[in-house]
Amino acid sequence: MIKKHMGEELMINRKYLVSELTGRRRRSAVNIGLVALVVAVLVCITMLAGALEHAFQTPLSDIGANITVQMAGDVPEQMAGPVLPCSVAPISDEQSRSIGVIPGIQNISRAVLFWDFSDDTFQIVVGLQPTDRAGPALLRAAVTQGRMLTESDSFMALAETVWAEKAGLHPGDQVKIGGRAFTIVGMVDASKISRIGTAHLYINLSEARAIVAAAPGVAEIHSFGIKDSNLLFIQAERDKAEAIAAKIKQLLGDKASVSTPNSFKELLGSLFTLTQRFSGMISAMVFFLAVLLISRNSAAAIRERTREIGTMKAVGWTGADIRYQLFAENFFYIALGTIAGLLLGTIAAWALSFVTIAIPIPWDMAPTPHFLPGGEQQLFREVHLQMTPGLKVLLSACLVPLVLGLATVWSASHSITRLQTSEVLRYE
Amino acid sequence: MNENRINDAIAVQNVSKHFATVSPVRDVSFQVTAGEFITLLGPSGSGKSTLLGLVAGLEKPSEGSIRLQGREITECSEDELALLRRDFVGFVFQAFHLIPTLSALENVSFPLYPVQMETKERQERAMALLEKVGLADRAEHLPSRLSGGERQRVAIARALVNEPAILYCDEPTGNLDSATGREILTLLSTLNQDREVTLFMVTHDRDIAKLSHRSLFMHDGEVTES
Repeated sequence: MIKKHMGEELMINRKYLVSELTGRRRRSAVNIGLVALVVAVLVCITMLAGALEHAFQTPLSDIGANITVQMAGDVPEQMAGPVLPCSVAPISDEQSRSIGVIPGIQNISRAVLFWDFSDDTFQIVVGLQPTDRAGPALLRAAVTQGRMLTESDSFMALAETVWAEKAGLHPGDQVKIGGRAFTIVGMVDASKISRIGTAHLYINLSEARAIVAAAPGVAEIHSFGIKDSNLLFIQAERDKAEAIAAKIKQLLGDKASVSTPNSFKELLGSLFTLTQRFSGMISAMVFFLAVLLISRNSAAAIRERTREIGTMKAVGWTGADIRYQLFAENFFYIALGTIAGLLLGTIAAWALSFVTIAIPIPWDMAPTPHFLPGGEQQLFREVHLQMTPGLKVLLSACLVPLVLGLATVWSASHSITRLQTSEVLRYE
Repeated sequence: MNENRINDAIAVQNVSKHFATVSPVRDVSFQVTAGEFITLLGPSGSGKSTLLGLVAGLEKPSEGSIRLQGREITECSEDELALLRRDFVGFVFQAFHLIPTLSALENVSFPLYPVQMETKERQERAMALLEKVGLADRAEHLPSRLSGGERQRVAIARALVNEPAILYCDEPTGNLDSATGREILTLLSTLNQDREVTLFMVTHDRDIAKLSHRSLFMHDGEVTES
């Protein structure tokens, strides 16, 4: 007679466990492969969704913001002297202050963008506050020659490198903006920073405001105060960005153009909307397939061993002994499958990280006159997909097969072990 | 001598088993004394295997009482029956029912897996039984590499590993050639004599019955005694 049962603990027999994992290679390969496939697809889809979300934020995050605000206005009557493009009508100081107190807004940077048709030339000029944490002030990281503007600079300018090269300008040279002479103190490669609100020349905000406020071409159609601006770059709490954008639109009225990462999603048009919906559908299908395949496979693996379970019962294994052993075996299948799936998914994600998507920048956000060469050309911000595995990604990819598989094994083995031993032994 | 043996190893009283349309066992009563070798004879479909399942606690009767080693098994749960089998019962099946992924040695020690016991002790006990059935040199072989007779010997060793008081055999030679079958019967008979294990064997072979102490005949679900 063998030992008494009182106080006996449930045990996993390692030898039996290993022999089942290694002795039934086809079954092990199918189980592990199936879990690996599900995990890999889940990892890829989740990482792809995250990468696309990140990509849509890039054009705005380039300039340190997640909301930009502009106002639509009338088209200048004459292209002479400084004028405001129709997409950047004035935003009054009062309006800016009202926006600044909306809860969730962390920082607001103001700028003035204008076209200058003085002296038979054309140049795009942006007035910036050099100490700002967002907006064109971030050009300080893109200075290629000379230096960045400072608040104390008077009649100094930064020139965009490509434009300056074409115009034959260098640091120390003088340019005229709104009829006034400015000295170039530095060259900046704006394309490294942003595609939004880019210009040929950058000057201090106060000087830009003064030029625009005094310009007859502006005064004809706008009332521009000395403290007004026409571009706002807002840093807001990410999860509140859309709600804040809606409030700003409410404040400024129908002519307000408020851009958020969602605006870029919409700009990508039907193709990406479809892709996104499709990705949602794929995720749902993968989840459904995961439920179907893993649960069917786990249940089939238990059914396949029904007679073996009958033998276990006949030789004195209790229901709990059997379930514990089967649970352990399936845990190993799922654990190994999950590891393989994470590896596969990571490799696939790495391959996808070489893919770039081109996010169109609307003309309104980087206005160039249509009559100039390249003025109608669509600007794009090319973004590499950042396939970053987050904890959420890993957890969701691992938990789905684990919960599904173990729940099915538990349920299938429970129903079999509850049958009378003779029924299980007779099972065909 | 097995210390768990009591006078009546098996006591069956007015046992019937009904399925939806048939009653393979009808009002059966008999006793098996400890150490007896009993054969249950009858044609195919007479209800022998069902009766074996009932007296071994593999299934429950629709009516009647079955006492195994003095314990009323009709009142036991599935888990209680499993533990009762672990303690008192060994099985030898016609189809062997060995675990294909385990070696002969591991198959023999299989009933002891859920028992808290040192691996060494378990293996020593299994190895001793393999030696007893003449398969010590095949201990590491998988069932697929053993002949039918060898598989049945492994199954017999497995049935004895828990030192049972009662050994149930369901057509143990049914899948074997006659020479191997004789060897297996000799082995079982010796075990009955040497270890005083109660042997309850289902067979349709009258020659086998001659080796036993007593035979029960089954016909249309009813049992008569020789």
